[in-house]
Amino acid sequence: MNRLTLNTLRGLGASFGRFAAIMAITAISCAFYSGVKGCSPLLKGAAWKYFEDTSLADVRVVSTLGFSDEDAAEIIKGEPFYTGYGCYSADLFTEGDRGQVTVHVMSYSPAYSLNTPFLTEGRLPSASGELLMDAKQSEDLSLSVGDKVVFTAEDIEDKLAVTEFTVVGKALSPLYTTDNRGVTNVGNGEIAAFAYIPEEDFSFDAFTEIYLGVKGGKTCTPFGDDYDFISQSAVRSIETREEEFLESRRESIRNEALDEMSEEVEKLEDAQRELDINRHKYEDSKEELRDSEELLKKQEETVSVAGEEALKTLEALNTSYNDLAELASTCGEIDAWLTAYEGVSLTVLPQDMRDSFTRIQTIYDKNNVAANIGEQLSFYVLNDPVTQAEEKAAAKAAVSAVNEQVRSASSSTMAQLSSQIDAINDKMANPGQDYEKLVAAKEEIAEAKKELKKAGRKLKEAQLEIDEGRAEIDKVLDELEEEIKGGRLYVTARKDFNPDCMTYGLDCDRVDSIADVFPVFFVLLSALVCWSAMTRLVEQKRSEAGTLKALGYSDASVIAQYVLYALAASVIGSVAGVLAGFKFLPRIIYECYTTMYNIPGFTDGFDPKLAGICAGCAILCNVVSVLVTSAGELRSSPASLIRPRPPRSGKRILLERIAPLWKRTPFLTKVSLRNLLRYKSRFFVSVLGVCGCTALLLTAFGLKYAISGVLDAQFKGVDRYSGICTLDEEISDEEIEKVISTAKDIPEITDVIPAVRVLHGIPGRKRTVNAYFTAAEDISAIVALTDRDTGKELPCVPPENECYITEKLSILTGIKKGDMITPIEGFGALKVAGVTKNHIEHFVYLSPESYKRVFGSCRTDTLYFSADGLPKKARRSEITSAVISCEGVTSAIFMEDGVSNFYSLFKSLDAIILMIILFVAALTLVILLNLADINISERTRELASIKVLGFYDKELSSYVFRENIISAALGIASGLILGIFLESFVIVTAETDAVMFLRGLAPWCFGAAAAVMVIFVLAADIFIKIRLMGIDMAQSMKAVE
Amino acid sequence: MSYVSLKNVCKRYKMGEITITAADDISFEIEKGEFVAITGESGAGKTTVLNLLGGMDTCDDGKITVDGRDITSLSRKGLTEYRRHDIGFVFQFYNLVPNLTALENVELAAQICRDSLDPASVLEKVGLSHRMNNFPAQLSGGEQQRVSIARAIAKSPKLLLCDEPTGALDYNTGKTILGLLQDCSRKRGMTVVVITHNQAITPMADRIIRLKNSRVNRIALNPHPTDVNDIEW
Repeated sequence: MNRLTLNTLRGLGASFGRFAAIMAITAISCAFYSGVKGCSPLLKGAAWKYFEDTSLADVRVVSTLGFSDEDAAEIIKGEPFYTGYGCYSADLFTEGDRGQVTVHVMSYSPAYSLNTPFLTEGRLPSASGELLMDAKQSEDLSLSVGDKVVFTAEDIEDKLAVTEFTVVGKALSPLYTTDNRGVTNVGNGEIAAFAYIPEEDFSFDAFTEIYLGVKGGKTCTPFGDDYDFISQSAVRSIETREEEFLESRRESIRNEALDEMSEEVEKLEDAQRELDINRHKYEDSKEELRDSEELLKKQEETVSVAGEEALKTLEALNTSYNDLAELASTCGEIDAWLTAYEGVSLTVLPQDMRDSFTRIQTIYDKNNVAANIGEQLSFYVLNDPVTQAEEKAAAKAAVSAVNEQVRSASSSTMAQLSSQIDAINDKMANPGQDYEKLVAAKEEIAEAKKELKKAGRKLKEAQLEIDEGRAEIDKVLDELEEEIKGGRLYVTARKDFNPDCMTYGLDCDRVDSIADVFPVFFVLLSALVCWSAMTRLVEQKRSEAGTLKALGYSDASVIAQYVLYALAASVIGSVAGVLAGFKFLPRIIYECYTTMYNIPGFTDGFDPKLAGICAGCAILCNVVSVLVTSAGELRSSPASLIRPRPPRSGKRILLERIAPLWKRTPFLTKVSLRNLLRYKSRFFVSVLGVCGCTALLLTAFGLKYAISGVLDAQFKGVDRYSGICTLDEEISDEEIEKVISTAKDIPEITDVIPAVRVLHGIPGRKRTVNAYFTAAEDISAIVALTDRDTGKELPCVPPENECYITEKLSILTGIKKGDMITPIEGFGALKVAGVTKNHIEHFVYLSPESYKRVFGSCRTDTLYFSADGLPKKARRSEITSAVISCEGVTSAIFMEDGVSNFYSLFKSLDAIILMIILFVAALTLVILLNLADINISERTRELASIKVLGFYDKELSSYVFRENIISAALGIASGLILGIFLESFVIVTAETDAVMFLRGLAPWCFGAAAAVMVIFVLAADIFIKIRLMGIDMAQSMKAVE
Repeated sequence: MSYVSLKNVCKRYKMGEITITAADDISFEIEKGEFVAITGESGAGKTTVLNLLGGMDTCDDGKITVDGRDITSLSRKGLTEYRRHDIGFVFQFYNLVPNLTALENVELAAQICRDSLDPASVLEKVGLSHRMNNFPAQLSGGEQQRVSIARAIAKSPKLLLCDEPTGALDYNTGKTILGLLQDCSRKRGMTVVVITHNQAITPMADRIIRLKNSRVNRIALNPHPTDVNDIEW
């Protein structure tokens, strides 16, 4: 083998410390970078695989009306879907160790094409009465395979056919990615666990939900925009047909109901039919009777008419008779007058005579006797029997004539009349047969009428019964209509029905962003150190290089040797680092995640591209540094190379010019100061190395502070409420009042604040940002409103048409105080009156009037409640149960219980940060040891001379330490400052949109970073001390001219 | 035409404001096959001249011709080639590669040379056949120097330049070494240039160049050089 190469390889072994240091630094930084950066795709890959293996559904449809088989089939048939199934679920109670808990029980069938449970113990349920338990929560409930579980609930018969089950296995469910089991509106609102039971053990008559798989959903990563687009389109495809599906469901419900009642309806219809027939009959009878009555009436009438007529005739006859009688009586009168004034006359008629004659005339007129009798009588009387004897005789004759006529006519007529009258009177006294018939008929008819009335009444009763029956059926149908007339379809994509599975993706993204920033700095730092190590290497081999050149080796061949050295160190280091990084780091991070996430089946992976880039950069860095340095060095002639580099001439340092200060400095300190400034590059590298490590440590501690402090800052600092209660959409005002009073009655609850809390979109810089628009009379009772810029408290509610927005929202959208904010579904804009501090989620606070103006209506949908202190968990359960039992409440939860997810979320980050700290620590240690090593190797001669001079070991150490301490102190100080900037940069980059980590650093971060660095510097010093002891004075002092 | 000739060669070192003239207008000539001794006190410029001759350094003024070739006009690459094939250098402090054995050290030089000799036999010639697989750290000063010489000889160079080869050695060992060098000159016909501050050795040389204050003080020719074994000092 080429002797030159042989020399280099032997040289690796000889100065193994340096070689090992470079390998180690390269390995650590490559491991860290590739491990953390390669982590996210592997974690996401594990999730993707899990979702694929278990065929996690993409879309879930829930209907308030349920789904029949046909409804389900119709939806599943939809264009975007390739499979789907309907199933049942219910929230039921069971007795656990610590009292009653709520279990979300789902139906299981091997025929279900999606959401396959992931078995961890035992077997799947195959027969009625078998139950598959939630693997993660079964410890909490102290349930193992073989145990019995009994479910209870309101109206449990409507939900379950069987209530006693035996646990046959435990499993994870792809529907639950974390330990969060969700909320419910029964019990205390919390769901403790899930369980699967066979489909047949449910007694619902309609599916409670449908799960669907979307075409193309498996081929793209579940965390990408493509998947989002596919699933949202699928969701929309159902939403647009909501009314259609609901209506067809209503139809089927109606039909079902009608089917159920069909028997009764038939009965009623039969009865009705019968009744109708009977009514017909009745009507007929009635008709008949009426006819008879009519006939009778007519007959009666006829009879009565006849009778009346007879009476009338009788009357008329009587009247005529009487008239005639009157007339007849005038005859006599007239006779008397005639006789009386036969031979007498009057010159004037006395009034009474005149009256009499008028009267007689009236009677004649009445009887239509055409004679002017009055006149004639007057003539007669007036006529003087002597002078007017003729006239008197004529008058008398006329009068007598008329009188005789009248007398005879009237008497005959009177005789006629009298006989007629007698006949009629006769008839009237003897009605005869006809009359009796009539009477009999009348009686019959009366009887018949009574019977008919009875029959009529019975018919009426019967009809009433039928009508009642009908009315009942109608009532039932109406009630049904009322029930089903509302109805809503809730279509959700994965990110809504299984939100934690998306949070997983976000967490991976967060690791990724940390990986983008943090390790780069890390790598730069180690590059710096490797650079300086390579430089030292080249310097040390200076005379050897000269010899080789003297022997006639070209510059290139000598440089090639250095490159070989650098390559060997960096290739081995980076390859080992990359392999170790990929093998261990993602798995470690995954293990941290599994405490929170239930995603099994993580496989190690390897990203050749990432590995290549990482290793390549490391190798490049080392090789380039060696190339640059050696090329420069070898420019000199062999002669000067063989000559050792002349030591830097001592120079006066700046400090010396300050004479009084300099005089007072102890001698050894002077030497240290001069040394420091003489070997500027060595000093610079030391300071920079320590500075970088300190900055990294500070960033790591700062991350921990910023992230873990968020929860307390938000839930104890910003939020002033202890829990939230959400209300039904259709809750009435009285019901709200009732809930409020129920809550206020609970002793621990100090305040209940009604509010509106609705998520709306706001156009942001890159995409829409969703914020909770919270409207209440007094916002400051709900959250602390602190102006982000001034730190002062904002007024408790913003003025009309203005709002407060939260910090992160302001940052994301670029909207500042004084700007206008235009919600997407609103009318009009709001002016931002202030930006308030907040850490989790985005909020826009405004007055109810403003909310109403912008969104059209303002309906209380949330109640914030504050409790005195924090009640114990059991008590909290009781309180939430009490609130949930009120009408119109959909959920109630204490923030303490609701944010347990956040806590574990941040715990995972904690673990990662710890890992970062360990890595930085390792790197720091290696760097410091390396620097210490360099410090000693370069000054062996000098140190040996001092030893020879008789310095005690301690004095020798402090000779070196003094410089060490000064450069370490400067390094730590500058590192703390640099770390402030690095930390804030990493924080801003690693944040997700919804969270704002604490800005700034706590004092303990600085203290911790400095303390760790000091410990490491001391450790390095111990190492230095050991090396100093080992300096062989004689060897070190061998002269080289 | 002389084999080696230096004409008005100057070498100056600038160190800040100070200029040190290591070689001040030096001229001399050497014939092929001569054993030349360059003498002078410490700081007289002997090493400088040797370095210039050996292509280890470049001069600021003047001309150096070796075997008809003007080496002052050579490029870096040319100089490297010159060193590779034409020069064998023996250092005062050996400058062996510590991580290679004696044999490998010689092979190191031989492997790049055109007309190299077999390293093992050269080591034998210098009497180190039993030390071939030892590292320099395991060799005594004399043995190390012999390895160094073996390394230089193995290249079959035109010029064998030796910078105080016996400076770090005792009397007897030194004598052996000088004997070797003389043999190279006499038996192999190599042109050997040896720097020494020991005047007593000069009788063995064919030419003695004496330097003083960076200048050539005197050049003396010795028609009858003494065998080194006959010299006592």
